[in-house]
Amino acid sequence: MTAPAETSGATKVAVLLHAASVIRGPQPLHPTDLHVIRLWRQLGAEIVVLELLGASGVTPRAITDAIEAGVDRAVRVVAEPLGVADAHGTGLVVERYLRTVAPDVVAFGVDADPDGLADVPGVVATRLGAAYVPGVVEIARRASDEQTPPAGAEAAPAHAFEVVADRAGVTARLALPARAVVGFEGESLVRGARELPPEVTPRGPGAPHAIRIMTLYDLGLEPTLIRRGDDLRGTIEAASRPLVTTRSAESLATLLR
Amino acid sequence: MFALVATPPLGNKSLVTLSVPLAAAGADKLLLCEADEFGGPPDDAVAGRALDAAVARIPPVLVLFPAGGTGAVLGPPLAARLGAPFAPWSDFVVSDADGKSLRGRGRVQVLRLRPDGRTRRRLDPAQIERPIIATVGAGRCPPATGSERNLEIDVLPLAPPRTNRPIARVVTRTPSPHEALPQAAVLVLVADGDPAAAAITAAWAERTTGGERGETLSPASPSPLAPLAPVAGYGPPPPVAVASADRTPRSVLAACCPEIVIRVDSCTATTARSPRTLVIRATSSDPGGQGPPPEDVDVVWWFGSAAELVDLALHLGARA
Repeated sequence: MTAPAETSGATKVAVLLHAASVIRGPQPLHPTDLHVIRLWRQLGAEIVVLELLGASGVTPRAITDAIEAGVDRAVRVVAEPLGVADAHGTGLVVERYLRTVAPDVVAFGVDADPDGLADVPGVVATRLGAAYVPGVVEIARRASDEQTPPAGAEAAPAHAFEVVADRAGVTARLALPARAVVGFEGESLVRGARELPPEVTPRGPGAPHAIRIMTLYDLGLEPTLIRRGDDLRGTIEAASRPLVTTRSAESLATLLR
Repeated sequence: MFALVATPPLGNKSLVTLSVPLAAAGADKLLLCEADEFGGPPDDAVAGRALDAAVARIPPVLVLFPAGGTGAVLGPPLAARLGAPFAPWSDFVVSDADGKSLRGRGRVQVLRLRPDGRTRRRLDPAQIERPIIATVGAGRCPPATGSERNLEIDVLPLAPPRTNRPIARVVTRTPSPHEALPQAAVLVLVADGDPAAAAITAAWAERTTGGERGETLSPASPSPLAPLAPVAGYGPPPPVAVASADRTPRSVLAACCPEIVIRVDSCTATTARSPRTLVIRATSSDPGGQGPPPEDVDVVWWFGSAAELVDLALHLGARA
C-alpha cells in the first residue's frame, strides 16, 4: 500500500534511484540519490522514488533509506525481464509508471548508476517528450516566483525553477521547462531555500512495509516487450592493469609513449 | 570518417579555419549544419536536429562525441532515438585480421572500463547490429594524416524545429573557470596542503607563463592551479593542465577523462577513466614506506623535484 502524501499543490518530483538502472541485489542508497531527495525536500516538493529490480526477494535497502530521508511515496517495479532489458526496455517501464504519476520533474543522480552509464534517463526524457538536463550543480526558484509563491503550496511547477549546469566550457543558468528530466551532481545545492536539519522526519509511508510493489502487468506491459537477448551493454572481461613502480622520469616517459 | 559541426552561419574565412584542423586530423567529409540557434550551449532540444539530420544522411556504425562535455548532454537522447547503446568514456580496438578470420566480429570494437576498474565491457557493432553512441576521453593529438584538399564539405538541410518540444532556455551563460580541464590529455592533480604543491605551482608558472614565481595555494587568493591556462605554444586544446583537487568541483573532475592522470602525494581525487587512461601516483618521498597504492593506480613514480614533474607532464602532453 502507499501512504498518502502530506504535501498538496507542490511540485511533484519523481526520483529515479540508481539513475533508473536495474538492481539485482541489495544496494545501499547512493549518496547522490540521498542528496537529490534532501534537495527537493528543501524545496518543499512532493517526492516519489522509483526503484527497478530484476529479481524478486531483494532486500529493500535503498528505498528504505529513501523513506527515512523523507520521501512521500516509494515504489518498486519488480520484474525478472528487467534483468535482461536494455536501456530502451527499462526506459519504457519507467515511462509507463511516470505517466501514472505525472511528475513535474524527473530527477536522478548522474553518478548513481552502479555501472556508470546513466543511460536510462535519456530514454525516459525522449519517451516523455521532456527536456533532458543533466549535470545540474545548482537549483533555485526563478526570481518572479520568489516574489509570488503560489498560495497554500511550498513549491511551484517545474518551470518556476532555474538550474545551473556546466555545458561544454560554459556555465549556463537554464530555466527549466514544464517537463524536464534533470540529472543532479552529488555536490549540487539549493539557492534561496532554508537548510534541512541533518536528521529529517520521515513524512511519507513511514514504514518499509508501505513500499508499493508493482509488476509489468500493473503497468500494462507484456514481458516480451522488455526482455532482450542482449542488454546492449557489452560483454564483461578482465582489464589487465599491472602496477609499475619507477623512479626514473625517462623510463616513465618511455613507458607512456 | 565524417565530422559533424552544428554552428551559427559561417563566413568563408571561418569555414576555412574550421575545416583545416578537421582535414588534418583525417576527416573524409565535414557535415555542416548551420542555424542561428546553434550558437548556444549544447542542448538536445536544439542540437538534436543537427544530429538527426547527420545520422539520417549517413547511417553510422559509431557516433563519437569528443571530450569537453557535449557527449553527456547529447549522447543519451541520441542513443534513445536510434535504439542504440550509449557508452561513455570509451576506447577502441581495431583488428588487423582479414575478413575470414574475423568470423562475424567487427573490425572495430568499443571498450569501456567499468567503475570497479578491474573489468571492462566490450561492445561489437557487428554483433549488436545497431550503431553505438560513445564519448571518448581527451587524448594527445596524433600526427596529421589528412589534407585540406581532400575534405569534402556537405551542408545538411535541417528539418523544421520540433514543435511543443520543451527547451531549457538559457538565462545567462559565462565561461566556465574550469574550461581547460576536460580537454587536457595530461592532468596533474595536487592537494593544497602538500609541500610539493607550492613548488609545482611555481614550476608550472615558470614553464607556462614565463616566470610568475612565488604563487601560493592560499584559498583566499586566485590560485594559478584551478583553473589553469592552456600551455602556450602547444595549441588548442590544451594538452596539459594542473589543478588543485581541493578546489576543483567533483563534478568537473568527473567530467574529465584524460589519457594520463598524475596525482601528487596525498591527492586522492579521481576523474573518469577510459581503458586507455593511466593513473600515475607521483610521490615526493619513498613510496616503500607508504603502503600499497590505491587500486586505480597504474604507475607509482618517485619524482625528484617539482620541476622534473612539470617537465615530464609537458613532455608527455607534447608527445603524439
